[in-house]
Amino acid sequence: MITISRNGFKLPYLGKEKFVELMRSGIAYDKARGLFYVVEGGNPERAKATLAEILDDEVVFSQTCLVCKRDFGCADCDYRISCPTRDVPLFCLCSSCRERPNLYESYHIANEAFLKAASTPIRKRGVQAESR
Amino acid sequence: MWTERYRPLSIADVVGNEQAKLEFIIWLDRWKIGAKTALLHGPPGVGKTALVEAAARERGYNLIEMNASDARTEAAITRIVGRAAGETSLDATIEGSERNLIFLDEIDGLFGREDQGGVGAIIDLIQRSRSPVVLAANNASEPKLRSLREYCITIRFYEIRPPLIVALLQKICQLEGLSVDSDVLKMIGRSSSGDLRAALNDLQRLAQGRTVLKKSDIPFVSERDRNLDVSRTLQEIFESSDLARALAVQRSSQIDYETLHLLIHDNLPFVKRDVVELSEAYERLSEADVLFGRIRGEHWGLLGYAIELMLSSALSEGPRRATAPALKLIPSKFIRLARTRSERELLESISTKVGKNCHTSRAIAKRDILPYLRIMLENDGDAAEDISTYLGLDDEMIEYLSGREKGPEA
Repeated sequence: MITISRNGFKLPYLGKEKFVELMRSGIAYDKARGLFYVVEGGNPERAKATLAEILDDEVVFSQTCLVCKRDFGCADCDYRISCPTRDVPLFCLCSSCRERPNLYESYHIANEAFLKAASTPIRKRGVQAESR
Repeated sequence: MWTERYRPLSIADVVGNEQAKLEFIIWLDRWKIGAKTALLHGPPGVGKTALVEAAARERGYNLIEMNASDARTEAAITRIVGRAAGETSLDATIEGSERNLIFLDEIDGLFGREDQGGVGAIIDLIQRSRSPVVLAANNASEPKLRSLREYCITIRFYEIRPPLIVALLQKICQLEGLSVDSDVLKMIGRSSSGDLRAALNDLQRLAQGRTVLKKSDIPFVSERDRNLDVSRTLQEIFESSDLARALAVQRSSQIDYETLHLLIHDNLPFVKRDVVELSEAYERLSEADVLFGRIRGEHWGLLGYAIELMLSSALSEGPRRATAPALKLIPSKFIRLARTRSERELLESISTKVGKNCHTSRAIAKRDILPYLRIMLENDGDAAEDISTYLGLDDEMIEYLSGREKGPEA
């Protein structure tokens, strides 16, 4: 089983057809970094099937803990059976963060920071960093 | 209602769908006249409306909203939001005043007879709006929304994950002074199927008149209708080890029981590797098939037994396989039917012509006359012309009946 990180992964040479198929299923390619990454809102089932065909192995997408930013898989999750978005590469909470006493507050702070950082234009972020 | 009391006040208060929230605020912050509108789509109770309301509050917009409870005819849309779209708000010239944000909720439930002209009015609204317009729908792939989609960027909302639901429920219990077993919250999280509003309602209902909530206080938290797609239904049924679980999955599925029967039939060999187990599974599936046959037309009382037999054939008995098998998601019967469609259509048109000329029904022509026509054409090639003239059959029909392959065209 191969775990695909949502933050970027490399693939062997695909050929045009497979590349187009991947792009249509919600995988994007960052030419500058040479990395493929998962786009939310794509078709994860189709992407998984295409990647499994390319890599000739079962493929699972990793989840990212919004609080501690750690990557983890759905395989050992308590909610594996009932989770409606199992194996879809999204933000979640890892098992160790779930034990935190003020979990909601931690989540809220992380959520706020994520939205602030990601919605600030890159140029502005650079200026802010310099001024610090 | 707790759903109102704990309604998100800021964007960060909206739980889950971080990427969707981000896409939405980027769209809203960069919106200018003539830009595409945002279509938020996803199942109910995942925060679409809450996000728009929170964003309007946080970014200083005056929210003008129409939902399913309003009549949304062309006239109503023009009257209520049309004016707001064409103008900035009355006090827009005053520094720090609010701008308008137009929100049309549940647009997939819009287009009944009562909402005549609604789509055209929305497109018109989007094109001439001087304020951002946001649309929300449960299902963006609805054919009736096709004409709208080219004017929209679509932002997908997923079901909220159970750990996030549990985190919020814990916080609410704390605020309400309610002492709750963590297992109870996990049960609610699991049964909510990603619907946060439903989870909150479940918790409020269970906590009514209590300050302590234990697992033993809860007999059963019913599973929400999850509307599972083909892939998910099959995966969960084949992973189920007990019938009750498989039945719950079947009830939540989009697939009708006849298609599910065909899919289980096609996928059993990929899931069950043990020959004895496989033969027992097919035995149960064929018993279910007999019952389905008796149900058609009458004996609906047998449906429950047939479904139980069908699902019991798919239950996982041994240890779970290390890797999930690739499942067939379209029944082979449907694929065969699609492949032979043109042939069946040809046969139908031959039967119609023969039936008309022989003064009989299409079914009788197909059953009683076509086999003889085939024999006549096979044995006497010269008869083809007379037969085709008499019955009005064209060359393709004669070739099909005589079993001759069409030669390469000159």
